[in-house]
Amino acid sequence: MSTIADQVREIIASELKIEADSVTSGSTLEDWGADSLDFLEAIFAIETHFDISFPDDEESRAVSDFDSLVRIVEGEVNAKVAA
Amino acid sequence: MKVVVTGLGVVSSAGIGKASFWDSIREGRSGVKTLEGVDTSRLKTRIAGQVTDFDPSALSYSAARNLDRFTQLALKACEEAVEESGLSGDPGRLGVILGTGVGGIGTIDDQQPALHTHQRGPQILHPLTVPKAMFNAAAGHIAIHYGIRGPNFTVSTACSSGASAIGEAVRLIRHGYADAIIAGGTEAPLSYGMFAAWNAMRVMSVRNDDPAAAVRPFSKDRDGLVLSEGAAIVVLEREDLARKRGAPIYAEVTGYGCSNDGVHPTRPSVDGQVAAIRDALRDAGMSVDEVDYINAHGTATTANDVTETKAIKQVLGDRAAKVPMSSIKSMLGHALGASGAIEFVSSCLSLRDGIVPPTVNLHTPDPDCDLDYVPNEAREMPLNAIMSNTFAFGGCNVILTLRKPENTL
Repeated sequence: MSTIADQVREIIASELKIEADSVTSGSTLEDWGADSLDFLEAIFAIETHFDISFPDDEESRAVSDFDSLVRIVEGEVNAKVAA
Repeated sequence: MKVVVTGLGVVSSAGIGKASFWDSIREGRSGVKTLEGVDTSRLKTRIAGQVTDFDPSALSYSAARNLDRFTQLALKACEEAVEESGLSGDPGRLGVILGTGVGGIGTIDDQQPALHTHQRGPQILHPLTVPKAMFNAAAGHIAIHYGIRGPNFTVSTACSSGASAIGEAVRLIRHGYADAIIAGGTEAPLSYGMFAAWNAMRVMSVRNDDPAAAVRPFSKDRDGLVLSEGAAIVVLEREDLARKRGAPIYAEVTGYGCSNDGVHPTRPSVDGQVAAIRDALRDAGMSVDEVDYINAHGTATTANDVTETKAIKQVLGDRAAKVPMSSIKSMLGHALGASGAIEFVSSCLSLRDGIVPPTVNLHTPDPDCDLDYVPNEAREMPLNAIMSNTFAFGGCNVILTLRKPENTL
């Protein structure tokens, strides 16, 4: 089974219609050539895929890079498993 | 300043594109079918004028995939109208004015079950729900698609919306606020909640076993309207500029009249309709003797058919019985805010071809409806001037008049 990071990478690439290779650790929204509306849709697809909701806090609202995104998803997925 | 029509686009239950649409309408073919994709098992009405064979992913606008259906339908109709017109010019002098009665209601409606029952509740809502559902989404995306930067707004006058949009666009051009405007109406009301809401009003036909025969305007055996979806877009231009660039010219829009009943939210009023008709004729500088054909509102509700007939008789007097008046809703169903624009497109095609489309399913006229409704078969006749009626909930009456251009197509 692929890691959470791999799954997030696939979803972003598919939603933003870019190569998965460009969605790497350290890459950002700017690198992916996406605007905030496109990114909102990608986040929605991630939430739907993992059946989670991003917390409505400052970090989640400001997220714009791959590593933070993966960290948030891992946090929510783990919290769901624990619950 | 004269305003002319240089392009037509239509998406309707009886055909996508004006060729297919006009073939159906002329031949009296209905687009009403058993409604699909909506659970109608607990509803009294199970038929609608649904647009089938429409593939939004084939639209030339790349962002179209993720838009509400009312915007997708408008984009489809717009592609056809703009391509035919060859619209060009300073983007700041071009506008987009659309009408819609219920906007992106489907986007809201389709998410209601999840919003109320899914464990993630409100977090389940699509993040673009607001920009998809907003009433001016269609006009906005058309402007983005074509890079148009002039006047852009969306009017909502229920079932008159499309006609209001065309009338307002004509005025903007006449008064110098734009050189050309993409105008029309669009509606996608066949979502579960909206369709059920129309059922709740008890104004829809229940002739579920015979969909094509369900809409019976002006007929004694009518049992209500049939809800439908669709869009129609026209390109309106200053006549001098249109001629200068050699654009095709379908018609001159000569008159726009509007009024409000000021009486009741849903029951129509003869006085209100008469006021709008007179307003349009005055605007066009046209006498009642010049009207060759009336494209009726003709919804197939008792309230509409009898009121509309009385209003026409009051304005046209002795001439009323001599002027053919037909309802293409008898074939399309009622596409609410798109209907006025669809009927305007139909009127442009009538002018071009000298053909009056029929009111189908009219075999036993209502004794209170005693005009010439062109029953069941289209009629060929010379046409120079046409009046198109639309009346709406909220008491909004909108009339457009158009006439054949000096140099025809």
